[in-house]
Amino acid sequence: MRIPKLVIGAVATALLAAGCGQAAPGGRPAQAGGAGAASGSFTYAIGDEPETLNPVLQDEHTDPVTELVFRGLTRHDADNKVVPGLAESWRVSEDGKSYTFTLRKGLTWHDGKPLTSADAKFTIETVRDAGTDAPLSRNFRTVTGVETPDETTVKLTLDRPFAPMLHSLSVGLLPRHLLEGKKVTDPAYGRAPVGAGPFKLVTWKHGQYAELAAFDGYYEGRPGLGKIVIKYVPDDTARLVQLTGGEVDGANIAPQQAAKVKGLANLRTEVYPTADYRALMLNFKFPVFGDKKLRQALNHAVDRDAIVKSVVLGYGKPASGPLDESPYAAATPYTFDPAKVTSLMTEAGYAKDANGIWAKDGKPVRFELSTFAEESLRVAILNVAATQLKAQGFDVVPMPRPRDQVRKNWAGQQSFVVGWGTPYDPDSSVYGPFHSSEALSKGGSNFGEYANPEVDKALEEARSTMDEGKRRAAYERFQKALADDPPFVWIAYLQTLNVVPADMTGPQRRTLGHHGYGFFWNAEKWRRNAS
Amino acid sequence: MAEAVRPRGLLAVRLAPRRPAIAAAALVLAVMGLAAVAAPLLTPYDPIATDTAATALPPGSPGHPLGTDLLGRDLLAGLLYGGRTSLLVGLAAAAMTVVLGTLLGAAAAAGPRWLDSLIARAADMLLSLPMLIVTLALAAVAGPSLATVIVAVAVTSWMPVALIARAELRSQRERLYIRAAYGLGLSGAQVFRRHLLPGALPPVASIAAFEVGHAVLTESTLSFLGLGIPPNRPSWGNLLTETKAHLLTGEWYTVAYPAAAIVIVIIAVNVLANAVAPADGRAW
Repeated sequence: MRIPKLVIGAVATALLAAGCGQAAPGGRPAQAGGAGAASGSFTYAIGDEPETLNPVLQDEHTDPVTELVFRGLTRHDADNKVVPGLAESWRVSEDGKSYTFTLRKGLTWHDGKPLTSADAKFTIETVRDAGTDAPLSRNFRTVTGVETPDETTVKLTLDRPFAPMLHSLSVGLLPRHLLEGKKVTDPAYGRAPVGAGPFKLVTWKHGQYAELAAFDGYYEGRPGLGKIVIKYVPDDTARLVQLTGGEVDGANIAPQQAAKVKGLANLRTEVYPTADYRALMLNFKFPVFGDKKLRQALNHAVDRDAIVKSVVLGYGKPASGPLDESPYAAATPYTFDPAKVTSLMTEAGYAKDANGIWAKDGKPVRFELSTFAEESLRVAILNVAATQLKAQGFDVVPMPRPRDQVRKNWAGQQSFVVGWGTPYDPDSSVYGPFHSSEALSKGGSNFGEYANPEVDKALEEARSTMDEGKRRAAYERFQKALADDPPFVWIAYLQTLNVVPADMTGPQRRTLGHHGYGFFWNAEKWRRNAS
Repeated sequence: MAEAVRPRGLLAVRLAPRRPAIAAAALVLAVMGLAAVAAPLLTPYDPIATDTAATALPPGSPGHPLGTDLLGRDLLAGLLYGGRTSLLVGLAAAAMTVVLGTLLGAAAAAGPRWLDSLIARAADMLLSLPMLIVTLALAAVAGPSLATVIVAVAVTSWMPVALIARAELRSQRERLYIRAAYGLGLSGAQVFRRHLLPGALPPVASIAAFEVGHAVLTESTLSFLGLGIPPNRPSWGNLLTETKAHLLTGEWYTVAYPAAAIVIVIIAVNVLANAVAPADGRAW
């Protein structure tokens, strides 16, 4: 069966509008600029700060400021489904090679200039042609032409179907009038971006804070908060101190700090799942990982429940594959099973040596496990996993390294605590790390040089079919092949904890992205009742 | 109880009013050194092995006298094995500083005038720079390792040793016993080795003791900043880095142990260094 060829975004628009109660005729107080209602402010402390606020230079998981400033043709709802953004509707041709978008009327940029189809064309072409400058350019390789018959119509022509296209177009649109003739990496624009999202950037003091103000011209009406300040506080403890001391209204906190915040009456902690998983990547350039039975045994040798309980104090869940948090989840969980480790290793021809380490032909199974030394969570996972693997007879040498050292030498890392995963279209977070054409030596993000023809085939099919049933079947085959021939030792999916003032309404639970990014996905509907 | 018996013989000299502190300091250092050397005998735990069944235990827990950290690592094991690294760095860096400083000082005193100026000016220049910045730059270029820390400490601390050795040698050179040595027919090298160098050693020994404490402290600073001992290898500095986040979450003792160890070593070393220093108020 084919999925409907015509997707009428307008229906979804109506639902969305009804949901948020800010449709134009409704005339909410906020929209009318009613007394006090829109003047609430929210100061939020976060650990990491981006180098640039240009959305196309970031990956699909954007930091809060970029998320608030920009809007794409499409966006994601609470279920991470693609819904209309700046485009009010679209049609996809039957063969999946042609997309026609209709923009909303009367859209403007933060600087007051009208936003038209020419801006959409400019953005798509710029990202596509940016190559390695923009990581997201990979999503637009299939686009052969962009036409703009009129001010509100954008037509995309693709040389072959690309299933993640609607998701890809959620990338924030760039204003042509500010960037035409400049490089997309233009640092001035990255520092002071102009977008069409619900909040506009007032100031960005690098290393300190970014201040945003509600954008009156936002297409859903004026946001409920008048001002949002994102404060950059890299140290976990300092964030907690600022939060409890009232210097900030909210913050992203570590699981170990949840208990400290719990007792405070004026604060509330929002705990959301993320699609961000941690796993031990195995580097296939090292022959120790050649045997898939050994890799299966490694997967049975880690006690994921114990890791979740000790490292993130239960704020997470055991991982069994890269798509557990996706609608395509189909992986069977690996159990912690020492007996299975023994039987798999014995089948593979290994025996324990005098030191209790699995060995074959006199060579013990010994490898380094590394990660970014700066990230305490990854280092904690590294140490616990190494201890667990050692207890099962694998001589793992824990070796965290400074980030700069790792980035210069990915190929030299024997195994590594990686983080991947996306709550959006699965393609980007599985094609890169697992397709053989994306191997590190070919310039891709398959750092472990994993290669499995079955996986390659399933991934190619999943991205190039417009038939939802076929896509599902392809991702099922993919997950099965991964389970049989594991590239990683799956560890855990993380939850993210965000503290907000008790009087804040609006934040809605959603599966968030890498680093817990995406918390502000519906910030235009947030408001503070007491202030 | 019988009345206090005055110590006799050698003890009478050793236990002069300033001596009990020195004995105590020496004892403390000896105990810490022994504990570090004998770490595997004193604790059954691997300092980096986690135990998810025994996380965040308070001090005094059965099997873990000092408690465990958030991942169940035994804090006593961390402290003992950390002492191995930190004290090793302290001793090795101090030794290297003294050897380097004395050699350069001797070369300046005995060598040609241009070498003298070169070494003296280089020392002055390095002394005028904030040491931490030089050390940080070195550590950043060479990457974190045990050897980096030792070299970084030596490279940034040899100047006082060299300047003192140089001054000492110059003043000794004119003394009568040196002239007498020449008069007896000893060669320049022989005089230097047998008389000049030993004569300059007492003030240098005092700095050497200070240097041990300084090196332990520099190790902690560099490791705390992520530029010292590679992460995951226990050292007092690394323990501080890993536990600093707990200061405000109730597990203050995880920070207190390594911090106390560092402070105790430095106090003990300073007491010893003061004892070695001549009483006439020389700066070093």
